[in-house]
Amino acid sequence: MSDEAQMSVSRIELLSDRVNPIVVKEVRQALRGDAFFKSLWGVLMLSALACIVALTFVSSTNQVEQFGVGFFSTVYVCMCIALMALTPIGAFQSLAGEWDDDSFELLVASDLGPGQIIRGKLLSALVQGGLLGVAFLPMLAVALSLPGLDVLAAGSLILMLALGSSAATSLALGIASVARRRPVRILALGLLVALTLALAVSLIQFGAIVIVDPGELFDYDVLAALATLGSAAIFFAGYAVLVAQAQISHPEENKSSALRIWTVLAMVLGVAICGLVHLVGPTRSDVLEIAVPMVLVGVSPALFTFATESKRLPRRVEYELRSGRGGLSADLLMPGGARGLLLAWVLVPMLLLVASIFGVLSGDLGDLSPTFLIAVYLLTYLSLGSLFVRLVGGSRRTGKLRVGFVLMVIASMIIPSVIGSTLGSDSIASGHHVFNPFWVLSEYGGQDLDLFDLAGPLTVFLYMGLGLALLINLPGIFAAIRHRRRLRRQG
Amino acid sequence: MTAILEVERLTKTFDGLTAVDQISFEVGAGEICGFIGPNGAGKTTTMRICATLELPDEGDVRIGGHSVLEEPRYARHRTGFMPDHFGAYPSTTVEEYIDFFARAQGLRGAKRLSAVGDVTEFTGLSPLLGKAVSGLSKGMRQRLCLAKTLLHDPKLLILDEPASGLDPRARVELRELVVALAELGKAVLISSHILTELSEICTSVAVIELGRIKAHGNLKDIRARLSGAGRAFLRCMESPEQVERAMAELPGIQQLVREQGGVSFDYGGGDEILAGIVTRLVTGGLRPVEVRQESADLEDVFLELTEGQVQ
Repeated sequence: MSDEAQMSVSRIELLSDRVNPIVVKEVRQALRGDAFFKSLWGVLMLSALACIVALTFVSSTNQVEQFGVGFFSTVYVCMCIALMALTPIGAFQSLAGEWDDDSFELLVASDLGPGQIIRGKLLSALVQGGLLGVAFLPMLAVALSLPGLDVLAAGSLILMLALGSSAATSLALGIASVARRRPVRILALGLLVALTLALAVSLIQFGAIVIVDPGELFDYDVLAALATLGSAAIFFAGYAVLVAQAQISHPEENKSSALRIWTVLAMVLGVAICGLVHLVGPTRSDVLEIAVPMVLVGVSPALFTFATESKRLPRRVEYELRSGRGGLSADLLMPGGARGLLLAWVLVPMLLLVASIFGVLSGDLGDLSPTFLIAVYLLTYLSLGSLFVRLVGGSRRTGKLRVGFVLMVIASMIIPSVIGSTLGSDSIASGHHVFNPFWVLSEYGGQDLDLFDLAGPLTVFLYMGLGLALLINLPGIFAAIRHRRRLRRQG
Repeated sequence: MTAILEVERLTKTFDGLTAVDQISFEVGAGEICGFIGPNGAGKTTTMRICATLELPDEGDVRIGGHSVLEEPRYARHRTGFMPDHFGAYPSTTVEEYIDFFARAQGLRGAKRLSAVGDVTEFTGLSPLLGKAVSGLSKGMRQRLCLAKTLLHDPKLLILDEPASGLDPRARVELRELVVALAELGKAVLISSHILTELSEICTSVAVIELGRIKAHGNLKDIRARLSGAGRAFLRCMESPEQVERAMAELPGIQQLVREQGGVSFDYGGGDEILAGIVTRLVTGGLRPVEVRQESADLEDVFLELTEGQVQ
């Protein structure tokens, strides 16, 4: 090797020191192994073949002005399959492979933290996805040179594909991190394949609309939907990465604070989108229609997870608090079920306060009462979950209790239906009752729900449930806060 | 001797089964501690807790004075853990494998290159750097894992069954490597089923059964504690028969056996007693040319201490 070559090698070595070690290893493995090149060549051959077929078809219809659209659509379908399916599945296999190959513990016992491991896996999957994407560049260039293609629409679709692929890859890592046993892993992989293919098909269908009529991109409804879906994708991707980190971290490390911060950020993001949508012009009820489902579908499972955490602070966290290195200043962000419940009780009314401000700004307060009732409804469910954990179990059984609570929620939907059926009420028998969150949500979304008129006694029951849960959990909350203060003083 | 590893009242249960029950022991710098016990005794669980891979229900492990529970990353910095079985990444060469773990240990630039060079030379892997990991023999894989374990120059080495599945030559070579590492001042906690090999290299042992430590310390001391006796070999200018007759008359001598031109015997007590025996023999006219305290047999100690119970 010449001196110049040696110098460039050492420069590369030095540069590679700045990169996550897992990225270096996995890219090396990919470039050395067969699987990556087989995928690359397979996808390229397929897309080249598909392009020839598409061009032949378009030329046979004499629509020369649509050459660009036909060619790009074909390349885009192939890119969707490659980036939405192969990249996430590759990331899943990469993390799952650590358990299959018995190499996971060597990784954990090294100096790499859980964040570095998951970020490394994510980045290396994205780098490999990027390499697949780069391979399509010549074909994209050909598409752009052909007549009929709207560059902005094509660019937007590719951007969406990149975002979708990144989100799906993050989700794949989150799923892989919880599927350590082989049977679970096989099931999870099946689920992931189905999910990524469904996402790919959705993107292809959306692309087919936009590429034919680029004006659709600037439709208000489409923009609002894209903003909501985009922020939801970012939220779920971040959440999946944090869940994966928590899954592989040391049992005594803080698995909660990062997730809690992310949940708060997601809520702020949701509110910001609502504000944006509100500013653009539609009515306040549209804003609430977006905000409340976002809370129920997105944030409440996270809050439920926090509300059912073990109460005891992990020793590692206690140590960090004592030594003052924790940087965890707010009690609400600390691990522990009581603090989790407190976080829920603070965040949900805050969101509704923002919703009220929108109402005041728009001068339309008529629909706010059901909104507040929805909040009480949500908080009661979260509180009952925490109550259930407090009454039934210890810290080691929290995982089983979470499953138990989900079953309890399902039972609360089914049992009233059975009772309704016995009493001869067709409406209750078919799930039209306030214990069924899916019905409540759909009714609220459809603006057909007036809970005050519908179920006065049940409303009282909900308030009573919330009050009882508050009363029972308050000592726990104060004890948790006192415990943390004591640790700070010990430090 | 400064304790590098301190295990304090460690307890771990799995689904109601107590795998490790209130065990405590220490390993000092330069010490090779053999961790022995029947299958299912709790060896691997203890080692995994020490390597921060498992969480104890009670107790703690301190490495260089720092808790593995409170400061797991500090513990990982100072510990090299070699599990009983481990995977190797496909499509990776020996050099890439070691280079990856060097990066994973936070080594950068020249330090990383130098560490990779040092450990591959120490473990004899230098000629195999370009070879695929998947093509290595079992012995070479063990060396590879040991090389990875040594990259960050840990103060404590935890080796779980490192000799399992190795051929006799590879075992001898691995033994030599472990001794060389202890001579560099590292504390070594090593488990193995091959007791004869451990007895040759260990400076102390911890015997565990049903999750409890049955004995811990110097092998000779453990034997002395068990039987209240030491064992020695004596060769004199006179014939072994003469020596045997003379010794038979002395008090406190047991298990007299003629061997290798001399006699082996158990004596009740420590160095003072042995010195007294030799003085009396000299006074009685015998001319000793070799007196040697014999190391206790690890297998005997193990069999005496354990009952073969499994849980």
